[in-house]
Amino acid sequence: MPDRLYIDKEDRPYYQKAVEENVVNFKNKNQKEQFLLAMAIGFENDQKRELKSRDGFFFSNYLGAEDRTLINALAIHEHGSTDILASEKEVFDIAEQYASAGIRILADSIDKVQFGKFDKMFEKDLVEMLNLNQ
Amino acid sequence: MRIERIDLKNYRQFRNVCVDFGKSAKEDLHVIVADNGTGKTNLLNAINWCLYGNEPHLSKDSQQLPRLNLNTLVQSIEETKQTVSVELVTETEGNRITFKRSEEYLVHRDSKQPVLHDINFTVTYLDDKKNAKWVIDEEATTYVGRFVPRDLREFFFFDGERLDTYFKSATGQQISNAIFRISQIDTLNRISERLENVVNDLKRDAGRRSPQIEEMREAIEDKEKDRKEILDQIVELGAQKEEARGNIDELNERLRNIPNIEALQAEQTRLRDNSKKKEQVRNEKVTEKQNMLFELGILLKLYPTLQESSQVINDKVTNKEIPQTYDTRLLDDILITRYCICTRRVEEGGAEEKHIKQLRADITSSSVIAKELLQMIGPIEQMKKKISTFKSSLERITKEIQLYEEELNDINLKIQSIDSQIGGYNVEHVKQWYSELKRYQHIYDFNIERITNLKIARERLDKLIADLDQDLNKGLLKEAAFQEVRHQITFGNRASGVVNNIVKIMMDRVRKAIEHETRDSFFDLVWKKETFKDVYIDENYALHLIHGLGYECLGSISASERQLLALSFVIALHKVSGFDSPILVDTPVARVSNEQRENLGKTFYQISRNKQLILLFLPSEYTLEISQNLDVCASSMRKLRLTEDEREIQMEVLR
Repeated sequence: MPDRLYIDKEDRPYYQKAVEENVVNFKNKNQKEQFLLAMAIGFENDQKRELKSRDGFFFSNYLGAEDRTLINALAIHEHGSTDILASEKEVFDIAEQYASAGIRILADSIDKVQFGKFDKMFEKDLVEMLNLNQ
Repeated sequence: MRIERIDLKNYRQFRNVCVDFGKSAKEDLHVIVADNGTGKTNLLNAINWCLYGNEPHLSKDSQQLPRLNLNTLVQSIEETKQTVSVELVTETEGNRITFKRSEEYLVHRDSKQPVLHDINFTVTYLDDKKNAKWVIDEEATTYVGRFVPRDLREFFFFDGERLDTYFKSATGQQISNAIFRISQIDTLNRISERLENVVNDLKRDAGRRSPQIEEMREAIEDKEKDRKEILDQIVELGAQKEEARGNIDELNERLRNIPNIEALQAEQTRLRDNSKKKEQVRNEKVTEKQNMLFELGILLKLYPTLQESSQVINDKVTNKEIPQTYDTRLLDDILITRYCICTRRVEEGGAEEKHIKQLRADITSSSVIAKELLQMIGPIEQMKKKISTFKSSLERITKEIQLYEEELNDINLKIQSIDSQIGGYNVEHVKQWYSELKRYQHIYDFNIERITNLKIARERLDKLIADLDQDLNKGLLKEAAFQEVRHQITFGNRASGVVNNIVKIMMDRVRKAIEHETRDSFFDLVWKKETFKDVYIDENYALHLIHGLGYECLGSISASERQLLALSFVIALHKVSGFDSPILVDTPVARVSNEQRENLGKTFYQISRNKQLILLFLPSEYTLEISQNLDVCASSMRKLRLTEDEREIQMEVLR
């Protein structure tokens, strides 16, 4: 049973960038929240990345019911079966791989978007997504 | 009256200069042109020194120098006596009167500081038999008073440049005094005073003969003393009030188009505070929205997985795969008892045991999954609910932020507007002016209140004195011996009352006449005629200039216009008073603009037809606008210049 979730050591600068630019209040979010957003972005872009050098990011006991549900749902989707839930390690692995790709995509987007405009763009995308889902 | 000649000997730069003011034309106009520092103002000083013994227009540099001419001083090789003298030959009341003031100095060979040895002031005149007579001391001063009284000299011998500040320093009381003196109403006043003295003497005389009468007289005298003190205080406070009013007018004028910077700055501070608060709330809302977007971002991006899991879980629930109903206790019992429910023995390490253990592991694993799945149902529903309400929440907070932004924009615009209103002004100066305005307003209001109270006290005293007078009259009536005295006192009082009334009526007439003449002269002289509407002197003798738009503008007019107004007032005083003493003006148009100089030139010409006018111009003042009017009519024209060593003045007679 893994007691923590990991990121790639190489992911640190990307997280740091998002903190520095403080996109969508990133710097005031804890590491678990930062991780979940990165994971969501990775999934949205259908990008995963194997971790080369594992670096503990936060303890798994910080995950609340909703957080676990999100991670589990992603694992079910990825695995195509609920059986994956029998292995927490595998579930976490999937989450970590999406997060590792996601944080890179986020950092890349920050670079591409004009300074101070990221939140607007982020909001616009979400509203479009929201309209599609409703 | 006129000045025929000024003879200056060893007086400052005038070592030996005689200026003849002979009248050769219809106009008694004399022009002297001189550069700065070449004796113009010292000619004015010389007249003042000769007549009154002082030099009110002396520059700071000249104050350091001895009155004795420097060349005379330096060239005095041996111990010697040197005399400074100014002789003013005048024509006064049909008589040739010569005023001469001289100072004799001892000049030591080693010390170049002259020591004053003797002072003389003499007045020489011709008696009825045309014999020359001379007087000194008080008698000589009386002659000066008849020529130009000391306290009126500023209306006869004055510096044009200083006229600019005339109304700033002159209070209503001073103007009233000038009108009083120049109109020679003081003669009537002296009659009134004399009558009051006679009445008092009569009362005193009666008092000596009767203790009761004396007691009443003393009471009246005490009350009159109190009354006089009150009147003096009213005059003093009136002057202070007028001064404050002048300052208020000036400051109001100065501040007319200037915003109240202090109030605006206070408003700006309030707006900035408000802006800060709103900005803080706006930032909180922005953070709230960012947090909302952050959370929504995670949920929305993973929404397909949530939907999928939700579907899977629902299917499992529908198929009754979850929740699981397997009971592992039976398997556990078999493994403990080693007997199956069909009574077969389950051997340790045997195939049955392996099968049972695998079955138990599978059940455990699927129950973990089922448990996880079951635990996901609630959160998925909650997250779906959140997503469904996000849109309205997002719209709400976006609108709130937008409102705050608009409010902040409005506030910033107001702050900028105040900045632009304040911009260009010296904020500290304006603030100081507002604070001074407040202070003078306070002084003005305070003095009005005090004057009102004093007037009430004076009225009370008037009544008390009248009652006491009546008692005294009754007291006198009782004694047959006082009948005559009583009649005399009654007559004296009535006569004094009549004289006082005449004084009041005359002062009022003179005030009106001066007001009329000042207005006429000013509107003749002033270039921008439409800018001004009226000039008037109020009952407190304060002069008011009304702008074309109806407001008082004395404080805000240009130095040039103020000089014209002061000059108009002086001309009016002369015209109304009939006082025909000569006028001597130093730098008469120094502050007057070219446009107004032509009118002023014409006015000088007009004045000089009725009285002697001596004008001391700077070359820069004597422009075409002036010269075209004066060159033709001047009886004499002279130019003053300094010698090369700059210690003496030479005079060139141009006409």
